[in-house]
Amino acid sequence: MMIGTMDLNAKLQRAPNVIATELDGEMVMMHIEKGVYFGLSGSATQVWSALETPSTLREVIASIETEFDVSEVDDLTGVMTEFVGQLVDQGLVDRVD
Amino acid sequence: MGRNVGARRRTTVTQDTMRHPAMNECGPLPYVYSIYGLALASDLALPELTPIDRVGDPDLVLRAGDVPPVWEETDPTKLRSFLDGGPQHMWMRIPGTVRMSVRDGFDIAYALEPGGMEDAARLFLLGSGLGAALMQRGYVVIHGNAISLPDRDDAIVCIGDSGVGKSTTAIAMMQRGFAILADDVCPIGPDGRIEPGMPRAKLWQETAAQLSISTDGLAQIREGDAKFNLPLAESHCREARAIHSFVWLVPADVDAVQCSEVTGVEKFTVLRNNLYRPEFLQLFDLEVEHLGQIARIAEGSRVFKVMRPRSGFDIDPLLDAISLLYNGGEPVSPAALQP
Repeated sequence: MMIGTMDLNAKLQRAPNVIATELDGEMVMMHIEKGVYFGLSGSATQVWSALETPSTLREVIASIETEFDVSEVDDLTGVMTEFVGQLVDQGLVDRVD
Repeated sequence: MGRNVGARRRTTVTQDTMRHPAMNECGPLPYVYSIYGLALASDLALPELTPIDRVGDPDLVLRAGDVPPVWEETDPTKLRSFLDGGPQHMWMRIPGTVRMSVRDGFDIAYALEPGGMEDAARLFLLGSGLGAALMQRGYVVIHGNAISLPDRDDAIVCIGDSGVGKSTTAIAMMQRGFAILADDVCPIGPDGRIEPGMPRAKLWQETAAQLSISTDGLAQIREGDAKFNLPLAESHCREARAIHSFVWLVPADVDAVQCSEVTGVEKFTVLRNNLYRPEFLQLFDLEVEHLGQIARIAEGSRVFKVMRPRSGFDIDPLLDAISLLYNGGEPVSPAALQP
């Protein structure tokens, strides 16, 4: 799928048909056309915040490093690439190419 | 935050400036009732509701009208041909009983089907019909039973799958001095309060036997059903209440009642899964608006998951657990008891 092909310079943005609202510091999202709900918590909410303006995967990862202590994460780039890949696969985030 | 709710049409309509066209289409409406904090004028006697004196124009109208037997724009590829509509309009047909058209959170028009019984028709008009009107008016409608102690301003809402024991729990709590605010349909307004429902509760024969309540002289809800209308009388809470918490009843493989608190996004999921007639939201194009509304309700209230043994259990420990939560006790987390 997308996961293997995304590089750090891939430009990303929030999909237009997704709405999100905060709840107790977590994020509830809904894909309007599919009528499917998603929940984000912890550092995942930061990914959504970082994508308020279109950003590259590299910039998203940098914002996670700024906001969270990631010293104990072995492969942050790998983890983030996979997670953002899931957001793209679910139609919550679009690639701008 | 920052949502411009003040611009909504229903809040700007005043009696002086605008009258719903349905007011000119209907005949005399001799019956007026109070339900969910609204005045409902009807051409049908509704013995389930609380009668009130007429005061100006009603908030809701229930009247006989021309309701087509098929939805005019029926799409043959659509699965649910007995339910259709659009924003601010629901059309529904219950074959052999009644057809209804609910518009603008105001007008509930009905046509009895040939051979349809009036009491069965009322069941649908006061359930799905009123529920649809409430959603059109912007309420979040939860499928549950709300109970409150008479001297308190907040209520517990029992939610969970059909058959899990919401009604039984509410009626058993009533026997312990609680008042029932709403049975089955709990509309939550923009102020976050639950409006009072009908002054009766649905009582199953089985529940009546379990709680030693005699069904002699009680009216059957529908002919042939082992379900009765239990008048609440003084045990009906007639004023809106804030939400103390939601108690989510879940049958589980447990030996005794276990409570835990649901937090964060899962609170949203639990409330979303316990909406009344959620299929109406799609029809009314209200799903997006509801996301924010449900999240605000979830944020402002606690949600407890109360697991009870699947069968053959004593109801008292369940009632004790709910009373404890209502009185400020923290749920005992099974995980916390592990060594």
